[in-house]
Amino acid sequence: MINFSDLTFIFRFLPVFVIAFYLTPASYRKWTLLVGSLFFYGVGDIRMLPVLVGAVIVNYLFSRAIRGADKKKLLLAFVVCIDALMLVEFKILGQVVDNSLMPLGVSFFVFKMISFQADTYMDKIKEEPTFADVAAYFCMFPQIVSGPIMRFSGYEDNDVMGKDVGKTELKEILSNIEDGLRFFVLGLFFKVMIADHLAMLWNDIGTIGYESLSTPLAWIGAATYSMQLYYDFWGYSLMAAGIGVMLGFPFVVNFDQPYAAKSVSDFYRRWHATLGSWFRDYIYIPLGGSKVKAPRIVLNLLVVWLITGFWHGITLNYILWGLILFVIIVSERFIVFKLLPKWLGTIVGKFHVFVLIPLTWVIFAIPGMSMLGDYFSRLFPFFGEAVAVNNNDYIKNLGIYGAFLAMGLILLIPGIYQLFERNRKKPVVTIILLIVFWICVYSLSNSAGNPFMYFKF
Amino acid sequence: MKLLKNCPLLVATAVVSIILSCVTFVFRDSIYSDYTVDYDSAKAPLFSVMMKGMADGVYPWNGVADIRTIDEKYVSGKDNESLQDVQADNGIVEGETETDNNAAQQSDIPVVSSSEDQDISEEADVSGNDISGNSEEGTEEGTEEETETYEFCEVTDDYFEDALFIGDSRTVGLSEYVEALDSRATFYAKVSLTIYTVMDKPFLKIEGSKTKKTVEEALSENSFSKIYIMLGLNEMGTGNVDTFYAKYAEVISRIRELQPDAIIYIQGIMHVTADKSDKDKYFNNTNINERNAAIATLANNQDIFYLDMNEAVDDENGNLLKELSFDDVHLRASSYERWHQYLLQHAIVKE
Repeated sequence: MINFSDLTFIFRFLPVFVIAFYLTPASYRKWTLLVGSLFFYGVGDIRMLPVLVGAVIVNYLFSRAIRGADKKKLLLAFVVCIDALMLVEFKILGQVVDNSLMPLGVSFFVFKMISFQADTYMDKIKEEPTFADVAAYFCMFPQIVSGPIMRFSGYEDNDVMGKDVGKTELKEILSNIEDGLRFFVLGLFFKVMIADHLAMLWNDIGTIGYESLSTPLAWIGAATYSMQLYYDFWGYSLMAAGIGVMLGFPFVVNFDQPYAAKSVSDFYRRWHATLGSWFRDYIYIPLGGSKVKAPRIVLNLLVVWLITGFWHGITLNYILWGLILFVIIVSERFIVFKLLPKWLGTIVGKFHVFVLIPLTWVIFAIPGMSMLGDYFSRLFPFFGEAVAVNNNDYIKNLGIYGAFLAMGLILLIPGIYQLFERNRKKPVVTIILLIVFWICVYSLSNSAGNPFMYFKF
Repeated sequence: MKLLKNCPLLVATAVVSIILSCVTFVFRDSIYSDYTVDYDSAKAPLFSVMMKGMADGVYPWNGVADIRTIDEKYVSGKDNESLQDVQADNGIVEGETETDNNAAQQSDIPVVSSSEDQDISEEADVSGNDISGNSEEGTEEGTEEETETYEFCEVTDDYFEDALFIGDSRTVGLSEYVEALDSRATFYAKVSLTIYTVMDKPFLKIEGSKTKKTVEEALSENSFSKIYIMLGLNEMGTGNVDTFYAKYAEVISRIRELQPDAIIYIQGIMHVTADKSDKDKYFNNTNINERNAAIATLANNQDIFYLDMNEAVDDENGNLLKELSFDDVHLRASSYERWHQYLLQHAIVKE
């Protein structure tokens, strides 16, 4: 149920929750949101619910203390250390002992908590929030599992919730739900019809074994995984933001056409933007940002990208992934866009986005170093030894998955989403969304609760 | 109307949900009764039942689809009566395709079970039927050849020149990643093929034509000296050992009729890894072993043999070796060679 693209969520939890939310008087809606979110979390990971609740209480108490204290800095440092240590500890436990020991969404709610403490410290939160507000902000179900990492200011910017809000007009409620639903449906489509099908191709590629891929298939695989990740996470983010809109929150932009970026640095301002801006505001800028000497900038970037790697996972491939991105970004900053002629810099930047980024996703995808080596030796077949390669494998897979790959590629064109966004209230878009929604539901009906859907042998 | 103007998508979604729910409600105990068994109203909307049905071709306007009737036919299990019924049915079908069999019999491979009987005779057909159905009955016909015993021996790849492989995705993998077999043998294999669909599902490409033919048709037109079958994994969640066995017996019997001269190799279903086996309610090695034991009894060691390639890929606990598989079910491309080697070392050669 904790998956937005789950029939139980779409047809049971979400409608019931939205109705309950709007039936509650405006000043109590934060409680409805909190209780509903705790229920949601409990269904997903009941064993770790106490961890979440404990972290919420501790962080609330510290935020109050920071607000009134003289030695603010010390308190801030202390609570940030507690939060960071908690995250690191659970990451290690989850990796070394057992995956189930990692609380659901811990990477996201801990980052929200740290940003909340820092914002409190910097007096960005003017009015002292109540416990229910803080708790509802940390736990709110549209964001608890995988973000977006919305700031507290986004939570405050809600015009249907809070004590000053009068009776909400039915018209406003319905227009919120309607608009949220549009984004939700588009996100659902990205996830169910594109990402989940590309995931099957990526799985089939694994089944063959990386050492036995033909070189064309290895490259198709890199594109496949890159797009799978993109549409999965972008789709999720659209669904999450859409649910937020239904509940009166502002739309949170988490993906802003990353593949239209001009460089890798630009890419990561557009990809998972709430995470990128978190790193910028709470790590990079406090370290001095770009206003320091060149060697220090390099060091700051290294810190940011090492932590980014760790945040995604503590296996070697994530660290390697972060380090390679660090090297590319440094090279862009000090060589490509500084020393090269402008036209060449533009080309190299685009090359980084369309060739190097997918290669970094391959590193991101494959945890074992020897398997990673196998994969790269098939991407670049000049070294390494291939075993049992069928040179026509890519023709077969293009035949099966070509339509999904094509759909993914076409939707990379930035204008398409913008067209949707501008015209999303037009009747023709409504009809398309309605059809798309029912296609997704049909597909979900035949995969949900049916273990055989993805396991046809 | 104002509502529709303000939030058309919401209203339309709600209306469609209600209509679909009503339709499903009306048909829930009739055409969708098979699908309501596992339905939990707390987990999914009612119309998901209808959508599951529609994926199998069961639409509200066309009644019960074929696949269900096939399943129901075997629910009664492998008790002798129903098995004989099935065989009797086959006998009738057989009569109609006599001339095709005639063509198949002209193969130059010596016929083992009734080698002297070269006539286009019903007797030959009947003998084919008996052997596949029940080996004890088969011995009644016995000549000295019947008592001859055969042992597996090692052969070279040339052995597969006139061989046919029938199977699901695993056999597809064998064709894709063992060049030596793919270049010699014929493969009638398809992802998600089952014993229930193997004969009647048109999936074999015809050169220069858009239509496809069934294995049944292809076996009537071509002849093979060796036929290897591995099916059964996709069926793990369907029916039980008895229904599976009954259908398997019927398929073998039919193949026997169509290809009276071929050596038939029934291959045991390949295991899954321990990870998969321990977690999965259906796809586990206990169930696989149960079904393998059942289909192994179809072998008569005269012209139908049972082969278990699991020896070549299992660990000491009888699970598929973890390092041979990525998805816990299929061999990796580089691991198919083990299967190939096993086949090379376990062949029957008749003089």
